[in-house]
Amino acid sequence: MKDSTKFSGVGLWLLSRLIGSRRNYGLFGDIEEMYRSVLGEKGRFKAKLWLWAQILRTIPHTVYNWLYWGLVMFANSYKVTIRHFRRQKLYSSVNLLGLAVGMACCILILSYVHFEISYDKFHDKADQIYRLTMDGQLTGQPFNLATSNGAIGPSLRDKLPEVEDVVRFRRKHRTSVAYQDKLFFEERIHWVDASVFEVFSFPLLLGSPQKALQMPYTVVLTEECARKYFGSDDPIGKVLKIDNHVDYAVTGIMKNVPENSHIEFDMLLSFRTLEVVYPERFSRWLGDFNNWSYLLLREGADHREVEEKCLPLIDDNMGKVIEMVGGEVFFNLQPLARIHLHSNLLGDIATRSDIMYVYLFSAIALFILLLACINFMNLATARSAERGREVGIRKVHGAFQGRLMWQFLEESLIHAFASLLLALILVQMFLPVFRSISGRELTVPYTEAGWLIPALIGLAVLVGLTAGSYPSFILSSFQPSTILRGNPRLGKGKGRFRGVLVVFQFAISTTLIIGTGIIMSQVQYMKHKHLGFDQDHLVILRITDDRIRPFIEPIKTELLSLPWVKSVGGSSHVPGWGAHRNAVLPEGFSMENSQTMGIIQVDHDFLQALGVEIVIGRNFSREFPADADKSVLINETAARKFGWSEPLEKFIIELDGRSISKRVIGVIGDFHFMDVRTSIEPLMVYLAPAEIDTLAVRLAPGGELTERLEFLRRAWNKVVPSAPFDYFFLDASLESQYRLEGSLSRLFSYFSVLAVFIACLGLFGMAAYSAEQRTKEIGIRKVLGASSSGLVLLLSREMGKFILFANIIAWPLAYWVAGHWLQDFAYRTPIHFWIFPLSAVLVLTIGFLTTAYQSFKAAASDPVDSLRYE
Amino acid sequence: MSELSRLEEQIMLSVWKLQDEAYGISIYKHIRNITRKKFAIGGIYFPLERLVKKGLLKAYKGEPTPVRGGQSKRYYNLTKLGMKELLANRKTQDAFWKNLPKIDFAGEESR
Repeated sequence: MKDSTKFSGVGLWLLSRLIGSRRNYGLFGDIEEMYRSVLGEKGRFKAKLWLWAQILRTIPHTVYNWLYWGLVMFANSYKVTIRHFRRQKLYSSVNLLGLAVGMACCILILSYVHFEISYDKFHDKADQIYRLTMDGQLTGQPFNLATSNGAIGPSLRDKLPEVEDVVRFRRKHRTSVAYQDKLFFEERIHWVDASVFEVFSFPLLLGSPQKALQMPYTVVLTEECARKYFGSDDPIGKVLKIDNHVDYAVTGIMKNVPENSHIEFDMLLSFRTLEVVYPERFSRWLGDFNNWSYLLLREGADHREVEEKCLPLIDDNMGKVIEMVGGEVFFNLQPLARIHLHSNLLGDIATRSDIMYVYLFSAIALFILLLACINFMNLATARSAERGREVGIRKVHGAFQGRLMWQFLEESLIHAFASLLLALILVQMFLPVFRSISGRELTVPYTEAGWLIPALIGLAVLVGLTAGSYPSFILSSFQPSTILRGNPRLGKGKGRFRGVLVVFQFAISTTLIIGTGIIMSQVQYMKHKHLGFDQDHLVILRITDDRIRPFIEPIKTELLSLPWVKSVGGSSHVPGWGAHRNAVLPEGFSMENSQTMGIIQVDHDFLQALGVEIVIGRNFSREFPADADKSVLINETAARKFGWSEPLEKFIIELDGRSISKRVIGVIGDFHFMDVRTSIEPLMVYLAPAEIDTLAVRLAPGGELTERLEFLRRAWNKVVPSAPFDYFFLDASLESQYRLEGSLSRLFSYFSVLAVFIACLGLFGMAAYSAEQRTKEIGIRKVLGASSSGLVLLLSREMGKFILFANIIAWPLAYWVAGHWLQDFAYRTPIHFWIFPLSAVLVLTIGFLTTAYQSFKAAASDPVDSLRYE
Repeated sequence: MSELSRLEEQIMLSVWKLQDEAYGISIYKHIRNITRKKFAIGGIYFPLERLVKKGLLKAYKGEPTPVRGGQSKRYYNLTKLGMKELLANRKTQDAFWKNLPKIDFAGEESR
């Protein structure tokens, strides 16, 4: 029977699936018989065709039937679900909300993460663009710079075939920009090469991408910025007055810079202008290192090879100087997409983020989602124990086990999808809040990340199926007689597992609470740390224009005539801005081990106005004419570093080409002239009126600020009527340094609240379940004379045990993670030990309140009812 | 007892006619030959089983044959109840057909 083996295969298998099973009343025999008769009459091909025709014809009907009855039964499941929901409003809504909050939280964090990793990917040539950075060491001091010299980029383009183009950015600090009577101070303003619009994908709305910034004294504005100056007028060809005296012609308008660009600006001035004004600055590879150079490599070029090829060029152009000073310099090409998250260099173009935060938040999102899902399954399982009787009745009425399984799965799926829907609504509701917390214009990337929606649906299905699996597979398998006779012990043995989950959840939430506490105390520490000067009541006026500088003394006199101005002092830098850095040769050091230190140029009154303490020696004084160019003050760190126990009268030579030797006349107390996160470096201060960029005005406390500002403005305008009056408050500007930590601590506190909330849901479900399981025990205890309060204690004891266990896990974990995080700060808060027991008490209280309802209900119930139960 | 459907009636009459040779294919072919309508063989199995369940037909297994891949035929026989149903059915039919007046279709053509 060779042929008989042939009658099988996909077709028949499909048919048997469609119809039901092979025990089908001789149908398969009949089909085979007919198949063979067709085979005999018309041949194999026709017979196969016939068979497939038969099979395909059954499909529509089968599908119809399946859908129809599926829908009918689904409608029933739906109805039952709604009924159960109504009967147990509290549990069901708690359960639904828990999962929804978890999902919403996860979606929000995902959109944050998606935003962070999308940085700079919008540039068409993103994978060909690299930033030129430098590292190495000079005079034994390692450095890692994001910036480079302005001459390097163009010469690399000319000498290396792999480098197709170069774009240099150079920040222009806060600048006054005027058009007719409109005057604004622009903070985000750069000089940039004309190639910017061809290398980067910053689309121009008006103007030519090739020509827009080719000429000196041309400017391109973003759409939003242009509207500020010109309203709806055509901006092309209009003239902006920059720094109060230089005219720039508008040659282009570009779209606003996307939020996820690491380079941020509102206004671009042509770099050509600088090359015209300061030609010597861009002729050598030395001197000025304040430009960011972006190289466009040819397609397929390997950036490592380009780095290699730079080595001989470095030697040619900088070799002599490097040899003289002692050290080595390397060029690195940093891929554009890595700048935002993976770079940690000195002098970056904008505040960047860190991949660590992306990982941290992704982990938190996953944890919260995991907690929520586990909870959902847990609660659903615990509650399903009550459904035994329903299963029994359904079975008695003739329900198949398969049908019952489906019913529970459907019910659980309905819940999961309702949660998903709720989650999406929550996301829309809380997106604005999340935006302000994270400080980013976030959108949920439904369309950008195509996987998001399928992933969410998949998640809902997974959670629904898993949560439904216990009642579905276990409950539906019980014999109706067993269930209906009494209450079978359902879900026994799962108690321990559930306990582990609760411990896990509370460990995570406690860790988050402790973490929040430590971050907050670090922020407080930084805010209240004594900075070495008095930051309050200090207004800083900016010298925005070289032409103001000759009038500084008259301005100071005018300001000091106001009764509440205590002192006025000028300087090149104010705290928070850092300082110049230069190599110096302190007395007793040889050329080979010259030192680097910060330099702030000041006038006679600055140290007094800032309130910096003079520890040894004296301040600059007009009575000593030699102070003008032969005296210097150093900070304590410098004295310590140079090993000077008697610093007065020592000499320091600044290696700036002029090599003037200066005498130390005093030592000032250490103060934070840089970021509070970094440690204080050696610093020297000397008089240089020509370098003064700011005036620090010390006010007497009290008084109406706006009124005082108006007086200051009038005094200023009296001396220099045409110069813009530009001011800021030092304390506010320092405050903004802690913005990252501030938003981190806020995010953390929100997440810990959420985690605690979700953990409490789990606890609540468990308490409800165990109270119910122990109804009889409680009844008997009451009959035997147990007091209500004793019973509450009994029921809460388990919860207390879990939370204590959770704390044992959480404390070292939190200590370790927080310690790691604090490492980044040069000045860090000690980890206060009281945070640990405090958070434990907090969690215990919350846990107790969560279970209290259940415990009191159980303890207060009449034993007669509970013993009659079943 | 509900009325027999058209297909059910045809199946039962075929089973009656085919006597001991009444199984899926023969019933299907018989109906097709008489009605001259094409339909899938799958269509007769559910009515057949429904009739068995109602007790109007009786099913029994035949011997397995090689041409059927070693599966046996499932033969059907009319039961007493089935016969009664058929006759009752016939009676109803006849009652409806009896004494029907003549209809003049002349008007229809002019329309």
